Amino acid sequence: MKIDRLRKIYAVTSVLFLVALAISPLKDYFTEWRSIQKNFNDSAEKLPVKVNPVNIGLQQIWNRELNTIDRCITCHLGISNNKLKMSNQPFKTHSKIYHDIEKLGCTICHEGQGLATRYEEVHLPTEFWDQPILPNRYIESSCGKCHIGEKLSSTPTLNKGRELIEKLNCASCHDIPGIKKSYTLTLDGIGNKVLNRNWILSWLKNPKHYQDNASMPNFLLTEKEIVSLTDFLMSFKSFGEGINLEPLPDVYHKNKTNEDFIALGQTRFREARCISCHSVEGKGGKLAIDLSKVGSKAKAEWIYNYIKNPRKFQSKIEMPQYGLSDNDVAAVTAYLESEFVDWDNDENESRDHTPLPNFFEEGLRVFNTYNCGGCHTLSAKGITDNRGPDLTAIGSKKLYQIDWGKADVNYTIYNFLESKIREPRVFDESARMPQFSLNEDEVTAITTYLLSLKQTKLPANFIRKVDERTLNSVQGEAGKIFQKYSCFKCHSLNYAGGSMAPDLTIVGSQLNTKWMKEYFKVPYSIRPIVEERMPNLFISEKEVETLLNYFNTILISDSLEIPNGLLQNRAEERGKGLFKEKYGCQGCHIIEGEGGYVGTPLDDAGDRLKPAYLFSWLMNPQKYKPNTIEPRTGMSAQEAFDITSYLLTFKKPGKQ
Amino acid sequence: MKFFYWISQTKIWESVFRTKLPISTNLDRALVIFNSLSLHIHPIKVRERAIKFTYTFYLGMISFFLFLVLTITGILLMLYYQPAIPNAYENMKDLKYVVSNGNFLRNMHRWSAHLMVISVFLHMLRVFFKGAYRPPRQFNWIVGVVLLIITLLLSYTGYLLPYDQLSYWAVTVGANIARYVPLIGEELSFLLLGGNNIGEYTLVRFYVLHCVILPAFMVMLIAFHFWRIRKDGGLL
Amino acid sequence: MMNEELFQVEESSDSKVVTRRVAVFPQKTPVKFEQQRPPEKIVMTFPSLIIREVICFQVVVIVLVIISLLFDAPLEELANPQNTPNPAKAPWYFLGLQELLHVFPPVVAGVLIPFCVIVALVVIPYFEINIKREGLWKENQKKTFIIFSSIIFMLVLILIFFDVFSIAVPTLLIYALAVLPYFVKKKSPFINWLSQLSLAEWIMTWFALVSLILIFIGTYFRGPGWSWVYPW
Repeated sequence: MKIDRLRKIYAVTSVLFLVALAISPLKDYFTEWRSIQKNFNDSAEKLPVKVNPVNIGLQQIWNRELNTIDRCITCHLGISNNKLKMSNQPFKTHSKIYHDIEKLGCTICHEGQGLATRYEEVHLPTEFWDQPILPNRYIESSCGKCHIGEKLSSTPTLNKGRELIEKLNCASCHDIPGIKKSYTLTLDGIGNKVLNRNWILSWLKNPKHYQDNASMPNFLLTEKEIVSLTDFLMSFKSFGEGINLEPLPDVYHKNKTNEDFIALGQTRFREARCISCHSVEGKGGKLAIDLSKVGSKAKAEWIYNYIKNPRKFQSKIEMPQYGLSDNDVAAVTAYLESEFVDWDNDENESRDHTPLPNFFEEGLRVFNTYNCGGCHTLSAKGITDNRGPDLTAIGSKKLYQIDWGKADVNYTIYNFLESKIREPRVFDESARMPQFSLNEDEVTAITTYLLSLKQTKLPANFIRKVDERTLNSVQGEAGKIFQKYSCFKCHSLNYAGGSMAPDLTIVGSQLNTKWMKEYFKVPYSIRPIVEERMPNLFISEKEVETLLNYFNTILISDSLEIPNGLLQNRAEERGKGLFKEKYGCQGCHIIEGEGGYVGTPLDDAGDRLKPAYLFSWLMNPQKYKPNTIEPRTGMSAQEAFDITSYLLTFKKPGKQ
Repeated sequence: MKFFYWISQTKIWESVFRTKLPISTNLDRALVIFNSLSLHIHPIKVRERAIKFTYTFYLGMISFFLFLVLTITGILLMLYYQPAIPNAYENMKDLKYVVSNGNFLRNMHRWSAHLMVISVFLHMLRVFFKGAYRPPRQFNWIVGVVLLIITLLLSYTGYLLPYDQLSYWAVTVGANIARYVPLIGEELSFLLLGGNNIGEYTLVRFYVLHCVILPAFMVMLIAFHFWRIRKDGGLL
Repeated sequence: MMNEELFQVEESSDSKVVTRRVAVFPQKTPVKFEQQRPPEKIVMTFPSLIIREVICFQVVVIVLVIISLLFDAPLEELANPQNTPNPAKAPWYFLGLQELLHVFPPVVAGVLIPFCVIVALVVIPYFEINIKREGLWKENQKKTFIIFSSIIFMLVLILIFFDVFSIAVPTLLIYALAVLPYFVKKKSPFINWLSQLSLAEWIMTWFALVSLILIFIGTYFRGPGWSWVYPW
């Protein structure tokens, strides 16, 4: 080749060489985050409020304790600037939280790749980063990483998830931190309880067919498995040692078709507010089973015995033991037998059935395979504890540990959990997990809770673990009564327990003893628009005394008091003005027959409430009930005292 | 141009390049080589056929240039690298996302390394099929074979340094092969890994091998290789 | 005036003839005179070679820059000793070895074969057969054919015994090409070219082809448990 031609080539390659070397620095200069920052500075000038421009450059939050580096704030420039509430992402102010974002960083809650500085790699699921950014619907799971077992008012989804997991008794098969196995119903004597095997057959096929709100999930059993399991269960006739069915009293046999007798049963059924917990044809409480077809399910003898003493058969059942007389119970039984019948049940079908020779082994195998023993006890030899996977750190399960089968989902841990909860057999046909019929909100809630179960190396000072002892702290006589009437199914103590009824932590300081005594006798609905009310448990006078004594000595607060030095005279008059004019309380509360339906009527406030509590409540309602909608008006102590004085004048004349 | 001319006549220019501009006669051209380091590598004159692209495909030269690029990018990458767990991996993320041109440097280093393995192997094939190992170049062929092995070892030790899944398991596979060496297999693998499994010590060991020991051998042998080419007739 | 001086370039005075080596006297080989070749053109190193080197360097860098801008170096998640990927693959240049490891006993594939390859490479320049590099079919064609065929036959038999078709097939392919001149006597440029290739060249071609195929298979055709998969 001629040297001249080489010189020309040399000239060309030299230029290309320089150009090539310049590309990468230029690319660096025009990188995405840099233009976003310039964009921020440009738009900051146009804003009506003064927003300081930022210095162009990478920014990051280094959390030394967690050893995380989050570069999110390189683009999310407004997270801690209150003036940018209305702007769009990525400059929007962070919604209000109780933590210092600039110290804590972002990925501790949001996950994702904090180190990355390119949009896709930070926000979208990428191949080699196991924890992509957490969709907002699960964000509360991150709260649960530190607030273990705490019921925060700002984490409704997480709380709901925990409640659902408790309610669905997931802990019977899985180890889930913070969740205890909630119920174990015995199946002993089931062969003697049910009228015939048809009920078990249809129940096993799909519990939801019998009852919409059945807590037992559908195990998707095959026809063969159902038959052998049914025969297996029907062979258990004994309720256990020394537990026998009392024969129905003569009064039942005599009167079971007598209309007056049935009417008495119906009256007692209503008074006891059985439908607070039970439902009848879809109406009523969701805490216990549906009673619509109970007459075709269980023998009358069993129903009679069960109402008399539920814990004789199910030692852990939460149904209260009502103080009804034998006659009343017989009447209720007659009422149930006459009204709550499944007219489609064909009794003849089951009579001719002869079980297969190996039904017992086969049934036991099915029983063990699906870990029926997780929720039910049964006095049979050969029952094994055949639990499902441990979920202690399910939230940090690595993607490679998951067998995705042929499921068509994006490979993320939350997609795995959601799909699995929604449709347990989606990844593996032979999985054992049963089908719970959950709506999307419930699936999200459960997923959120499960995601919060991380195998974190969070520093100890981050963890806020709640003591679990509160519920069992009620000891002695009162404790027994609490248990007998299953108070904590509805009420809570230190916000642990049921969520249907008010918290009882300081009930002794809140309510007047006299009023409570009356209320135990005839509970009524305190709020006009809420139908739910406490059932009449027919608690004996002695037990009520014990309870009230316990309330007034233990369940009290020392901090409730009205400060000295407030103007006493004409307080009621001023209070009336404040109540009606300044604060417009009647918007929600009924008084003298007028007012809104949202709050509690206050016509009997003087009977019901203790002054110090009423005063303190007015000062700061959220302190006593974090999620109440009553506004914290910021009224002065004098004003609160005046309103208290005014309200205390309202007493029901008849009750005096 | 005047300025350029003036520069070329200064004492400083002369002290650096020795040859004065203009270079217009063959004597001047000879002096450029004669007065410079390239005398140790190149003769003053070469056969025209030997420097044709189709004769050698410049494979040796390309290999050397790739090594040069690898050295430069490698030294720059060393500035950001800590041979520790998990810092090593985090450093890769930093290179990718934060360091100016970090991703570019890493890409250059990685792809040059792969290309160098290919070019060295092709260079060997070319030398073989051209019969360029024949006397008096037998020993230079052996040096070349050693250089090929060092290239592979350099590439292999560098493979672990990002400490991601890919590197960890690739190195595990390699280290398992070492275990099969009769008699001393276990000890060899222990020596290589600095333990029974890949860990922090392996990382340090591979780092030192990759950045100090192997490059040192490489440089020495390359120098020797070049010197032998020249001594054994080379391009003339 | 000065500029003229600067660019006054003498017409090339590259000499046309230069003394060159005509004979080598290695210790063991007989004295052999190289054929007289027409004298070669000689050029000045500067600039003829130097400019080529600089261009070569620049092209190498440009190509690298383009590759680096287009393709990102792989980076997976942090190494996790608990998570063994299936299959765990060595760097690509060792995949041929890993492929061998899959079929032969570890000592053979992992130690013996690499050792033999290195030894074979090292000793190449010391074999007379390599120095002479005479065509495979130059003399005693029948004997060569029988020995060559039987060795290949044994080799292929062993390979098939171990189910290594990935080596057996290219071996047979090379064999077919190597024996082609023995059967086809018709003169054609291709046959002539084949017939003048030496045994050493055939072996090296075989080695290069097998390495290439094994690396290719290891990279693209091996899935979980080192089973055969198709990349598409």
